[in-house]
Amino acid sequence: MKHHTTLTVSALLATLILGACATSQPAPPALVEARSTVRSAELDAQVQTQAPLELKRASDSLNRANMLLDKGEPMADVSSAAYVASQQAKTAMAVAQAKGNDMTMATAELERERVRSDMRAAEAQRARAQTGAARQQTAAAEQRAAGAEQRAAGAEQQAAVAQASATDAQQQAAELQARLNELQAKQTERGMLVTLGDVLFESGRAEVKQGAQNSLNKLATFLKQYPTRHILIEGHTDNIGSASYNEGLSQRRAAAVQSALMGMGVPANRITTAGYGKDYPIADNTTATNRALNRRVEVYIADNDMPVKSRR
Amino acid sequence: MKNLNWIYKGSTALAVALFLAACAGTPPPNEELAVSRAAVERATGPAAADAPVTLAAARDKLNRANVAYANKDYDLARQLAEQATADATLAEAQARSARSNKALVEVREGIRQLRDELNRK
Repeated sequence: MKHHTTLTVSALLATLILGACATSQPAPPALVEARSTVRSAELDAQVQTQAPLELKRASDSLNRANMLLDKGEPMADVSSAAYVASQQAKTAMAVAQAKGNDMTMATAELERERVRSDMRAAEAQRARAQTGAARQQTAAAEQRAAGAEQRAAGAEQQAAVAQASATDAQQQAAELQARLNELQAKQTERGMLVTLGDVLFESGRAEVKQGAQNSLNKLATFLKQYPTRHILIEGHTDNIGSASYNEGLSQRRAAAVQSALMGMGVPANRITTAGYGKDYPIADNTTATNRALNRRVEVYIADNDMPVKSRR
Repeated sequence: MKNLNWIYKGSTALAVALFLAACAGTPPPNEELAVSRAAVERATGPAAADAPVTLAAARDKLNRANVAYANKDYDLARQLAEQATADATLAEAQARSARSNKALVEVREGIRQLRDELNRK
């Protein structure tokens, strides 16, 4: 009986002690958190595909924590297992994130390569454009240079022509001067003056002497060489005799020279005649020598193509 | 009465012995500590710069696990060792994620700059 009682008490005590270990307890905060963390990791498709191993470890740890709680293991053990489950779930998420980054990185690197190749293409395009522009500029410059050369050549040619014509003109002027010198012409303001002396005519007569033909020939030749020049033939006398006589005589003598020149082929329209009698002496009539100087025919050769101005 | 008292005392001693055998009879967590040391060591290089907080927690727990082990508090030593392993592994993953994220940001910034340049010209 006594022995029975002892057994009963012992069994009761053992039951009480086992009960203390196995009583179902509320989940500690660490386990609550672990359940939530592992659950969100399990629901994440990226974690499922990228970190299945890590996810499984977290799930297993959570199961262990739950089991420990169910078995009534010490709270410290449950919480520790729950903590491990949480950390493993976070690890799974971090690994999935890293792998996702790696994949995105591969895409980004491809894109970077594409942009770089775009840039190289653009650069090449720009280089080509610059080369084209440079070529165009060169062509334009060459064209301008060619134009300038052409103009220079033209200018040279013109200069040569001008030089030539200047030389010509000089030559012509020199020749003219030579001819006029031959005629013993004197420069006056009305033109070149050739004086045909008294010796041309018999006294009181208007026919040109045979011996004077040489002087007139030279004059005719000159006028033929310069076919645009006009001449003015003036007859002058000394003061012997009446004015009207002298005027008539001077006119007749001028006309005689005109007809002689016409006879040598000088056209009449280039010749003008005038008789001034004794009105324009070149020396005083006091001596026979001076009077002889005043009896004369003056031939003015125009400096240009215009007729010679008459005295009045 | 005296006999009953002896029996009571004996039962109590038996219960305490049973309790100790069932709940506190823990072997030393040698394997857990070794795993934890290896994990912390592996994480130390890459995670020092990119996940310093988590790595520091792992080291602290490993140290405390060693202390508990020395005190023969094997339950605590095992719990701390397991937690340190989980922390170290997380630190490693966080570091990897941070590095890849940084690299991705840099590449994207590079692309943006290239695009800008491309559009400017």
